[in-house]
Amino acid sequence: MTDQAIASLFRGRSEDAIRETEKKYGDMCRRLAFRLLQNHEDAEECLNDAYLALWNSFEREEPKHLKAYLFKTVRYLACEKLKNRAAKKRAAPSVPLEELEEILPAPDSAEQQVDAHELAETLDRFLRGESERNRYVVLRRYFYCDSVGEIAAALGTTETTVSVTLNRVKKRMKEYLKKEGYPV
Amino acid sequence: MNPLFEAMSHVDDALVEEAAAPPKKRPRIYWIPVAVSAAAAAAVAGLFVMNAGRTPEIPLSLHNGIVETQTDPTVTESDAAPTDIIDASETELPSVSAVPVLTTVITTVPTTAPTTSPSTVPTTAPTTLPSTAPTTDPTSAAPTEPPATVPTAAPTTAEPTVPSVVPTASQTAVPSSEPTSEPASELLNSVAPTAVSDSPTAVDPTSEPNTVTEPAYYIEFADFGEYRYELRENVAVTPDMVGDALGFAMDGRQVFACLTDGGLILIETEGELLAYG
Repeated sequence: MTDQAIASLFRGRSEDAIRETEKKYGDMCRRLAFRLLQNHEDAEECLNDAYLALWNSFEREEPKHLKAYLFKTVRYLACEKLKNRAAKKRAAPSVPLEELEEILPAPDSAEQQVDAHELAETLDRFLRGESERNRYVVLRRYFYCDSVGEIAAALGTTETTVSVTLNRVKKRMKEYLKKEGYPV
Repeated sequence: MNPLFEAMSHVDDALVEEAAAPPKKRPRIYWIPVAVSAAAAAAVAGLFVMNAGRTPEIPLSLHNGIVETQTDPTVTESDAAPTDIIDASETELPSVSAVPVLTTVITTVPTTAPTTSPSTVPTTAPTTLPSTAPTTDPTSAAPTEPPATVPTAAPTTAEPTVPSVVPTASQTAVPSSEPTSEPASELLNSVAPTAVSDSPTAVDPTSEPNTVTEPAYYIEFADFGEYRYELRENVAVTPDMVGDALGFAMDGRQVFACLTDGGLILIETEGELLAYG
C-alpha cells in the first residue's frame, strides 16, 4: 500500500491505517528504536507512542511525508527515553554518540544549551551541500543508527570506504558548525 | 545527550526519506572490455588512415613522351623497341600495374644502360643479366607471360642496371605504392634514356622551366596556365586531379598537386614546395 493510501485511511480515521503502517514500516521503526534503547519493551512502547502521535497528527495537520514523520517521531521518542535513562544513571546507550562528541560536545551547563531545531536547520544546510551518497552515509549512521558494516553492504562497498567517508564529512561538518558560530 | 545527535531527529523530512532507501548504485563499468574495444577501434582507424595515405593508381598520359623520344638524337634502334610497345598501348594506361608490358621493358633496359649511364652501372651487371635473361626473355615470353612470373625476375634484373631511375629516396618515401607505380616510371624512362641519366642534376625546383635543357616529361597545367616541371611521366593536370599524386620527380620524389589561394602548387611527399603556377 502506498503512503497516500495509508494517509487516506488516517484521514478516514480507520484503524486499518495503523495496521497498514505497522505492516509497511513496523520492522524498520522497531529496529531503529531498539538500536537506540537496546530494550525490546522500551522499543515497543516507543513504537506504540509513535503510532499514536501519527494518529493524532492527522487531526491537527497532516504530515507531508508519512514515512519521515514516523521515523522522526520514533527517534525523538527514543531519544527522550535515553535522556530519562541518563538522568536516572542507567546504562549508556550503544549509539554513536561519542563520534558526534568530536564534532559538537554536549554542553556542560544550561547556558550552553543549543536549540535542537536551530541546529537541525544548520545541519540541513550542511547536508544539502554534500553529495547524495555522503548524506546517505551520515544519516544512516547518525539518524538510523546503522552500523558501518550495514551501510557498506547497502552501498556495495567496504567498511573502510564508509569509515573514511564518515571521517571526511565529520571534519567538514565541524568546520561548518564552527563557521556558523557553534562552540565546537 | 549530544545536541548534534538530538538535532538529527529534526532534520528535514525529505532528507530522512531520501536516506530511507539506498542511493541508486552507479552502473559498474568494466574497464577492460572498454579498453580493449577502444584499442581495437583505434587500430582500425589507424589502418584507414594508412590506406588513405597511399598513392592512388594514376592513369598516365603518354602523348608528349612519344614526341620527345622521336626528336631525341641519342635514341638508338634498340631503344625504340619499348617505344613501340608504349605506342601499342596508346595514350592511356588504365593502370600502372600492367605487368606483362613492364616485363618486356625492364628486360630490355640492360642492353641500353651501359651507353646511357656507364658510371652508374655496376660491373657485375653484364654477368648477372645473361643468367637471368633466359627465364625472362623479352623477345619471346614477355607479352604473353603470366604476371605471376614477373615479380621474381624484375627486381633482380632492373635494380643494378638502372640505379638512377629507381633512387632509394622514392622507395623509402612511398613504400606502399612502389610495387605498382615504380615499374611504370621505368617504362617511361626507357623511352628517353638520355634524360634519365641526367636526372639527378637536372631537377632543380627553383630553376626556371626554360633553363631545363633536356627534360624528361612535363606536367601540363590544363586549366591553370602553362607551367613546366620535370617529371618522369607526362601528366596533364586538371582541376579534379588536385590533391592526387601526379607522379615522380626526376630525383624520385613523389609529386602532388595542391590548390591554394595563390594558385596551383606542386609539393613532394614530405610537403616541400617544388613549384607553383
